[in-house]
Amino acid sequence: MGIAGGTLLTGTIWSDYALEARLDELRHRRMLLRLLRDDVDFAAGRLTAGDLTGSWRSEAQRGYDRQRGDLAGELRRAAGLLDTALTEVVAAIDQVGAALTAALPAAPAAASGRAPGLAPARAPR
Amino acid sequence: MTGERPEGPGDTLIVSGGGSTLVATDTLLAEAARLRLLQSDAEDWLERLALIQSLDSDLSAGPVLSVPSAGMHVHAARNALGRVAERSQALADALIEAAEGYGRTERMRDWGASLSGAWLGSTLGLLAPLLAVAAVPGLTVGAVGLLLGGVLTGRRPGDAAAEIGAWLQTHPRALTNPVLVAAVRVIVSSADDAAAGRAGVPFPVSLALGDEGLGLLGVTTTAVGLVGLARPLGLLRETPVSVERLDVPARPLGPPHPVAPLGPPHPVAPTNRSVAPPTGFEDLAARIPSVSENAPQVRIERYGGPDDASWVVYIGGTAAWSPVAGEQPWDLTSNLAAVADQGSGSYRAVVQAMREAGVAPGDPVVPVGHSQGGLVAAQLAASGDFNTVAVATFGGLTAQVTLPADLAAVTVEHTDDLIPALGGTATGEDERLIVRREVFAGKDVPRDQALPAHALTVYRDTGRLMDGSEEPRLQEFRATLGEVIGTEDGESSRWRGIRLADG
Repeated sequence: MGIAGGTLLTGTIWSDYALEARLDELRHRRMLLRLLRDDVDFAAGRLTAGDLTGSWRSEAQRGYDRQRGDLAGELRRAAGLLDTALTEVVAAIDQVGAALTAALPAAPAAASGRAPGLAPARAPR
Repeated sequence: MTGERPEGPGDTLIVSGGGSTLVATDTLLAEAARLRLLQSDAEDWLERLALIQSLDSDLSAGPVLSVPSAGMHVHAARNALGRVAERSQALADALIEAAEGYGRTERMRDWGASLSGAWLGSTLGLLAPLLAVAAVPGLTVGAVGLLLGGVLTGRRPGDAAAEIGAWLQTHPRALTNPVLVAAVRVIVSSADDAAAGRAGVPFPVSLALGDEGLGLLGVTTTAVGLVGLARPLGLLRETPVSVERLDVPARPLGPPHPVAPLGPPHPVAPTNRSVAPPTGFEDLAARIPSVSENAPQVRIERYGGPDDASWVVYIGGTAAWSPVAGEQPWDLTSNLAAVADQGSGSYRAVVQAMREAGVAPGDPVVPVGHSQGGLVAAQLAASGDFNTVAVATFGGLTAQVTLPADLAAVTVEHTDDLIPALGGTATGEDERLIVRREVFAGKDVPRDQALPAHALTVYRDTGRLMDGSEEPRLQEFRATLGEVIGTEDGESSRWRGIRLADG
C-alpha cells in the first residue's frame, strides 16, 4: 500500500502531473471508502436492530443470538477500520494537496485564490 | 423486527410451503434471509475493497509513508469482512438446516399419522359388522342403565346434550386443542378408507387410491357420498341462487325465495363507497364480512381506472348450520357441496356477484375468504374462471384444493382451530405459503365461544402479526397485493346471495 497518511519524505521529486493524478486517485479512494464504510455501518445497525432474546427462549436460540452478536461486533470492527482508513486517506489528500501547492508556480495559485486539489480535508462523516 | 412483536407462544407464526421444504417460525426464516443478504453484501464489499486496494498506485511513483498507512487498515477491514462473509454463511446454513430438519420431521409425522389413520379406518370399516354385533350387549346395558338412572334421578335422555354442552363450557380446551385438530384431520381423511374397507376393498388398494396414493378417493369422495345419502332425505339439497346488492340493512332471510331475479332491495340505486386499498393481511381479514344470518356475505372492491381495473373479493364464512337449505346460501349444504366440489350455492353466488359488479375475465382478482369463504376463494383461484393473481384464506377448508403454481397464495390456519381440519390433509402439491399459529398456547381459552380459535377477529390478529413479520415471502405477498391494486382509493360494494326455490 502506498500513500495514506504520515509525512512525505523530503527530497522526493514529483511532477505536477503525477501529484494531480495521485490526488484524483486518493479522492476516488476516499469516495469508495466512505460509501463502503456507510454500507457496513448500516448493515451492522440492521443486524443488531432486532432483539431476539424476548421471543427466543431455548439454549440453542440464545446461542444463536450470541453468535449473531459476535457477527455484529465483527461488522462494527470492520466499519471502524474503514473509518480509520478513511481518516488517513483524507490526511493524505491534505498532504498531497500541500505538496502540489508548493510545486505550483505562485501566479496561478494567487489568481484563483486556491490551488487545484486544495480543498480542505473534510471530516469523514 | 421481533423486538416489536408481542411476546408469548401464542404470537409465534410457523411458516411452511411456498415451494420450499422448510418449516420454521417466521422469525427464523427472516433471520436466515437477513444472514443470506449479509453474506451476499459481505462478498460484494470484499470485491469493492479489492478495487480500493488496486487504486493504490505504484509506490515508486508516489510518496513513501513513514507511519502506518490506510492500506493496513483496509487490509484489516478486508480480513474482518472476510470473516463476516464466512460466519454469516455458516449461520444461515445452520438456520436453513434446522428448518429443513423441522420440515422433514413434520412430513414424517404427518405421513405416519395419515397411514395409520388409513389403516385404522380400513380395518374398522372391514370389521364394522362384527363391531356392531359386539357392541350390542354394551349398548343394551348402557341404554338400560340410562333409563334406570333417569327413573331414579328424574333426568331425561335429552338432558345429555345439555350436559355435554355444559361440560364443554367448563373444559374449553377440549375443542380448542392442536392434538384434537390433528386427530380430526386424520379421521376426516380416513373416512374414505373406512368406507372402502366396509365395501371389502383391500387396504393396499384403498391406500393406493386414496389421499396417500393417487388421490382418486379422499375427503371429496366422502363428501360426495354424504351428500348422496342426505339428499333423498331432503337434506343438503343445492338450489339455484341469486344475488342482490346491499348497502343498507335488508329484510331477514327465510325459506328459499320463490322468484328470480330479486332485483334491488330498495328503490334507490346503491352508490359505491370510496375505500382505501388494503395494505396487508390485517386489512384483508378485517374486510371479510362477518358471519350474520341476514348480512351481505360478499364485499367487492374495485381499484384502478376504466381500462385497468383490479378487484379484491372478500367472502364470509358459514352463516347457517341447518342441513335443510333455507334462503341463506352460506350454509351447511354449501359447505358439503363445496368440499364435494359440486358447485356450492355460495360459490355460484360469488361468481354471480362478481359478474354483476363488472369483473371482466381479464381483470386481476384477489379473492380473500374466511372459513367457507376461504374454500370458495381457493376454488375461485383454482377454477381459472377469473384472472386470479393472488389469494388469501383464513381458517378455510382448503387442503383439498390444488392452486395454480404461479399464484401468490397464502393460507392461514390456527392449529387449535378445528374447522380447517375438516378439509382433511392436503393432497395436491402446490406452492401456497402456509402460516400457522396456535392462538391459545399459554393462554386461557374463552368459555363463551364454541370455537374461539376460528373467530374472524382472531384471524385478524394473526394478520396483524403477519404484517409485522419480516419473513420475505410474507413481505412479497404484500408487495404483490400493492402492485395489483395500487395506492389510489377504490370503490366498495356489498352483495348478498340468496337461495331460490328449486323449480
